[in-house]
Amino acid sequence: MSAADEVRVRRWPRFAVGAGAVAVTGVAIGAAVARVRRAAAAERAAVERPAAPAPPTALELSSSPTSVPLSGTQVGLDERVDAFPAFPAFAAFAALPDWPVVQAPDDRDTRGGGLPVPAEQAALELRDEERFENAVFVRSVLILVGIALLLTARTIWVG
Amino acid sequence: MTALAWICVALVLIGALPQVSGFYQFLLAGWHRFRRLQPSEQPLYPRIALIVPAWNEAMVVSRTIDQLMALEYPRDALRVYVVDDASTDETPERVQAKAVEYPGQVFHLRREKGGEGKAHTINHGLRIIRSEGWYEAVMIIDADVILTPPSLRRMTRYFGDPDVGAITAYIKEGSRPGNFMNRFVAFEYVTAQAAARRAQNVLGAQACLAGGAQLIRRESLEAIGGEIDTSTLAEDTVTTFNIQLDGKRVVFDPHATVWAEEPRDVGGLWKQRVRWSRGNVQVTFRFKDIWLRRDKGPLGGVSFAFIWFTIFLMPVLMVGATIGLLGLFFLDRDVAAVAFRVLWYLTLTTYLFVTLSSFSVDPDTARRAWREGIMFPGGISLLIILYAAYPPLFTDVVAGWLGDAGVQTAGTFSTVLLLFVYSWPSLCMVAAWLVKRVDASPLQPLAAPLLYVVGYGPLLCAITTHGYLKELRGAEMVWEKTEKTGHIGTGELR
Repeated sequence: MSAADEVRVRRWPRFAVGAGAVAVTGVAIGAAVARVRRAAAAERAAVERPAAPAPPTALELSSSPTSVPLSGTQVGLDERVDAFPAFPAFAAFAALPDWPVVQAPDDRDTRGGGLPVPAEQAALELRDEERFENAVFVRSVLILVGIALLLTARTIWVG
Repeated sequence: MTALAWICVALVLIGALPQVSGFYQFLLAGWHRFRRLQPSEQPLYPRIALIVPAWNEAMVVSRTIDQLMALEYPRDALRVYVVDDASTDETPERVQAKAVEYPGQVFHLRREKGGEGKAHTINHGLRIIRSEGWYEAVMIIDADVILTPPSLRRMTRYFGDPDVGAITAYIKEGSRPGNFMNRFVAFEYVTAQAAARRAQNVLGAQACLAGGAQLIRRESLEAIGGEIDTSTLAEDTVTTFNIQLDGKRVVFDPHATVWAEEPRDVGGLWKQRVRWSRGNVQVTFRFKDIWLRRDKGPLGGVSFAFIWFTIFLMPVLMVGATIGLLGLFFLDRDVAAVAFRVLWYLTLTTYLFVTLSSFSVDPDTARRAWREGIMFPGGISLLIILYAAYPPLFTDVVAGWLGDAGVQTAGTFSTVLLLFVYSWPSLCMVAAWLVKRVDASPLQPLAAPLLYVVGYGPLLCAITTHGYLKELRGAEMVWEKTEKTGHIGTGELR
């Protein structure tokens, strides 16, 4: 066995520790994310939404495939001008806890505006906003912990 | 180590301050949940005079007015004043048609002599609105933006607190269909608005009311003279500072979304951002008496000054880091290697934290612009980050491949490569400038891939440097309008 091979063999335990730390971090983040999502879903389910004819709540950061027709151009979800090929790892981003969305308001008839919203709806929106801000904080902490573990694993591995 | 070597080390460490600042801002943004000003739970509907400065906006102005009339806001508490800055296209006819369609709500204010810039146009409208005396707050927007239906009523919630003088919204890039540049800008706005302005909320000091959405309480407008500044290229920042120096708070509402169309190419972005960077120079000197002065309120705080100046001086700090690394290279290579590692390790940490946090702060934009988020520093910088984080990847693996291919990597080759890597914090700005030249040449199709290689961040630094140089030589202040096409959408589009 050459000296270089010996070095590589000696590094394997470090590699195992590093990979283990990364895996543990991943599992921890995944579990925390799932927990936040479950909590958000349960909380949403527990809140009774105002009945019609109140307009839908209006947190526009939604997954609604809607757009505003402009200058005769209706652009849609599938339209990509110069998009790069999809990258499977992006599924990780999609797994982040969603903003507690109800419905996007942007596809409504533009003649339907000019009306105030019911107070209950405004209160619900405020609660949605608070939940989102909570999620931002939790994710921020998780990201920091993940980075710290990653750098620690790297230090153990590389030295 | 010699004194010269210590100076070089200091330059490298000072060069890392923008990274520290970026990290700090995102830490604060996470803390927003605890330190944000709570808006009123009940909707508030003060009488709002909405000013839309317009110069040759025929393509977009009708749609903008329709969108404003679709706001979830009582019609009798909203008036739209389109200030037509002597447009030569069909803007007057379009606005007048809308004034007929929405009687008593849409008004066409015509300036017969225009071309003095946006600030003068807004002031024309402000003079008329103030003389009418109807309004309780004024909202200044751009002619091409789309306010989402709930945005205005969300912003007005903060008027429940009498200490709030102005509110701004989250401007999101909305060009549809978007191209690579639009997506870079979209991601940049997550960092510079959704995150950075959350951080400023935590500090209690906002740097700037976004030009496309400035809601100002009547008392605050009157307190700053009833008009906005016309002597700088950053009138929105001057307004923001003046309101806060008057003792009122300026608040960012991340949940009030306004869509805006942004430049689609390097040239357009360059023109827009040179104006912004010159404006920042003017503001920095104009308010020179407030920095690090606690008696000036949160604007005079250490944190605010740290963030402001690390961004303001970023190009200088990057050049300083290069000088430091190159100096150490010739003085003491071992120390140079350590300093390099520290600089880029900090860059790696900040890059990971900023990028992942940005995806977290605005998942919708992340789905659209995640590639641009990852490639924000550029491919070359990412390779250098990898090298700093895990040198064997290059010293063993890549060198092995090159050796197998018959390339001699020792000696001169590695020295030149190391000098290139040490110089990259400065060279990247030159490379970004070359991308701009390519964008304006017959090789224009190469500009997009080159931008991914060089990086959008370095491009912004290069533009900032150009703006500073223009300001330094006293170039004429010209308000160059950013070209808009009216192709703007909302929601999760590509």
